Amino acid sequence: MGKKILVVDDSRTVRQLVSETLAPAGYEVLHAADGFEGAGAIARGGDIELVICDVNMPKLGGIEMVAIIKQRPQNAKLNVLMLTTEGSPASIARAKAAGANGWIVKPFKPDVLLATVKRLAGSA
Amino acid sequence: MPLIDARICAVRRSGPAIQRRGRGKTLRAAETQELRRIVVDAVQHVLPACGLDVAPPTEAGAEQPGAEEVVAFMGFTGDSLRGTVAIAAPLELMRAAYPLVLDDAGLWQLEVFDWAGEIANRLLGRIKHSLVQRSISIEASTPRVMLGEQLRISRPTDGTVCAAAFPVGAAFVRVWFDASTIEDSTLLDDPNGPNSAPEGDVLLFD
Repeated sequence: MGKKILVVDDSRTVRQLVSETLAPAGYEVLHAADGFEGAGAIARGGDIELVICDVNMPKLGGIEMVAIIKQRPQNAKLNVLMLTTEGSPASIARAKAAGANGWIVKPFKPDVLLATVKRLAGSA
Repeated sequence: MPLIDARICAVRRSGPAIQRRGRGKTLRAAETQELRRIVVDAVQHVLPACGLDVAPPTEAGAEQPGAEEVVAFMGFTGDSLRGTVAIAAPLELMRAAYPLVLDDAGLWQLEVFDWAGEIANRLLGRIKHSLVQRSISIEASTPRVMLGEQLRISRPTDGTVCAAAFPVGAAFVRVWFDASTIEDSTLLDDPNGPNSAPEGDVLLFD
């Protein structure tokens, strides 16, 4: 199996769209439906190379999830890419301060997403 | 078959604290007109990218008798503006717009509900993008999606900024946007606010 990418988004459709972009390139795509599920998946370990994360989600938002997971030293080098409809400078600054590594405003271009994943996680 | 999307949820519990603010106040006519233009532009930008090739709007009232319609709602609030956005479309139209292969034998309606919520999310994201450029910041709820027949909405109020029907073939996508401002605040007077990040582009942090 290829490198593991965790997609955290409350839209199952978006998670599937990301999967259809990354899986053919050899990545193994894991899914979580909100920040709590995402943080849980990361806490369980499993060699996740990259997290792709929405911002506005129920239970726990994406930026808050990033802030929580980045408090643990073992996640310090875990790359996080925000994928969201939001694009305000204030939100982007909050994500950067929380420890995110990049930001894409939806809708995403599949080739751009794949190139960004390769840059942050390496080839599958 | 549950008729309500599993994504139904309360307004986000996390994120910036939302402070109690003053009573809502009706927007001035010029503000309503400018906001309506922002909403219509957002609809015409977002919906075609989501598989709904809308034509220019007519005023709402385009009844779709007997049609099962999916309706997605989102609320928003901020320092100077708060309100709701709702988008409704026939179930079959939304099904045709779904971007992935649907399993006819499976729970395809839930997938379509999910997509309707995502469209509402993208629509409000685009509106937020335009508002940021006017130095107006809003925080959105998560979407709520329902299915029903002969959907009607209460008659327009002073807070109705946009109640329009956008033709898609022989059907319509209906969009409602209601907003009020906060007492003593002035909207849309700063056309030179910060720019939002453009759609699809990548920002990588140091």
